[in-house]
Amino acid sequence: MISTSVNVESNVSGKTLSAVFDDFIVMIDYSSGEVTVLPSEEAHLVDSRPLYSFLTGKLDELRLYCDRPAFRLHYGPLSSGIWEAGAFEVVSYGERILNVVPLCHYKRLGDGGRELIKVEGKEPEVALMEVERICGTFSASYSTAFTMAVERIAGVEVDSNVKAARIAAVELERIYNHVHAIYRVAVAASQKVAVSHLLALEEDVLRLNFRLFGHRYAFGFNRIGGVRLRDVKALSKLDAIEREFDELVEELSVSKIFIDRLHNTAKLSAEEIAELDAIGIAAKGSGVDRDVRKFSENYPGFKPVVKTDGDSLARILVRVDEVKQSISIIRECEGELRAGGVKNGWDGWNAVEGEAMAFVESPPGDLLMYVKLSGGRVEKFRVRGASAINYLAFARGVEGNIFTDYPFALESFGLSFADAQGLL
Amino acid sequence: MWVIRGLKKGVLTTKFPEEVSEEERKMLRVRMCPDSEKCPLEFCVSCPLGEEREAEVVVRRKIPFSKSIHVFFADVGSCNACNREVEMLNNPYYDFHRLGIFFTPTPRHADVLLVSGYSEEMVKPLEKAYSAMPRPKLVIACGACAVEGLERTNLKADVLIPGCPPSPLLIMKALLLARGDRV
Repeated sequence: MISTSVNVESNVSGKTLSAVFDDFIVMIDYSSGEVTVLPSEEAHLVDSRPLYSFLTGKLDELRLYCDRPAFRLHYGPLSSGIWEAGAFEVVSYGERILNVVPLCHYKRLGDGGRELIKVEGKEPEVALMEVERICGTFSASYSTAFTMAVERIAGVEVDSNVKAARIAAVELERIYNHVHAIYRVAVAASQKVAVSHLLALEEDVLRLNFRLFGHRYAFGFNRIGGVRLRDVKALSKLDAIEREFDELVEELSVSKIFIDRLHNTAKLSAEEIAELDAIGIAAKGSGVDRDVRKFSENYPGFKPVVKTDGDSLARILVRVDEVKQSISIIRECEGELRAGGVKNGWDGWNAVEGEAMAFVESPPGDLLMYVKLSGGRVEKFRVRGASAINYLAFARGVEGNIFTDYPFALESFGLSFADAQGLL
Repeated sequence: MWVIRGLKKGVLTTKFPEEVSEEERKMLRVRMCPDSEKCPLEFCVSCPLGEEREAEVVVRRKIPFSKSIHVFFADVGSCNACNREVEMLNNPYYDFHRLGIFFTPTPRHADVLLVSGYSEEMVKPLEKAYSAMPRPKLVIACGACAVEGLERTNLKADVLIPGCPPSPLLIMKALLLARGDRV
């Protein structure tokens, strides 16, 4: 997790495009953690990048127009194989996929989209409840980013046990989402028995979340300046979860059918990662260590898991190692949590004004959140989920593969349309 | 080796609806506002402002037969948490197939339309899916967004499941009630 106040400069060379909002653009240098904010008038510095076209809705620049006869299919929404409200525009001769354009607008926030979620104009404590419902399966990351930004504006330094509780929530979220991604790949490979074991394991982690935070997805756990914790002793379940996970991975890794479907599927090179500004699991699977936890003081000595093959198998192997890494990070926090004294919120935010940005490493990649407070309310709120960036990486990766590879490619990225926020 | 693993693990499946354990009883509870008029949100969620109480599934209409039912799940703009809980019905803890409830990938084979979330962009696809279903058909609003969101469409929900998100056990209970089972 890193938190930064907003600064402006115009040197973008070697930096990764992180977000394009209506009035500013965010760049990040993943070698130093330095964040650069450009005014939207400086868009010419980045407008040749594919991600810029994707985030600004210039989808025509990403579409392939063939001179040979090819089908243009609209796959989704409400189609078999897509569990969420989202769609893909696929161009194919019949078997090989030539071009994919993800259509993420079905779940966008605001008028004409998900109107029920409104963050701006609300008091921070109320806005927090809306924020954690933008993407429920990554809600601990969303609520942590929001509280960090508000606390940064207020100049409040939270206690170390509050930080430890937030780290535990974000890492538990990573564990059950990574297990879920492996489960989805196993579904695609018809590994029916493994599927049942993996789903049972995910249920175990969700039940652990429920005992620890009072909610299976940690809704209501984060507060501005504090956290709510229930039964810290529930963390003793981690040993059994780790043992079960290790055994399941061992069983799956000897299944040739399973491994063959992932090997060489949706391959992305490190150069393509740089070209597409891809982040998180997509980058780490291709040998590029883009993970904001390495810049965070809350994760001292953190080293991202990296695999170099760039295919679906590499991305799944990154997840396997990250689950183990997350369990050891939670164990390090456990002593701090058991010490008790977790603060239960802070209500001095009424008087604070200002703006701040926060990054949190959510399960598929880093999440960026910008908050501006004025008059005790959220005046401006911008969010860019990791899926908004990595759907483009998936689209590039799956090109050249055949239709039966589609679920193996998609599920290895572990994306969510609800998380694909930040598209104009 | 999978077989040995399975045998060693034993039976995980809940005895619900015949028996409800203490842990499961908690999963059938939701946080609800004592006074929704004072709620600062647009829709009622299981928020920390509310009090925990037994979830009340509203059943306005039932399926006129008590055989197996096929469910078409339609996410029309959820935060993905409801989707995950519906997916969890497949896991061995719940194993909803044992009760004669099945997912179908097409609305043309469905008896029940299980709706989660709300986004205006998805209203047309949702209405199209509903019109493709054979009669008799039922609409179930799964979770706070869908309960509020379906009010804004031409579809009327026959069964309302509270919760944000409702637990898999609560969704299972609602499906059984929709079929006319005693739960």
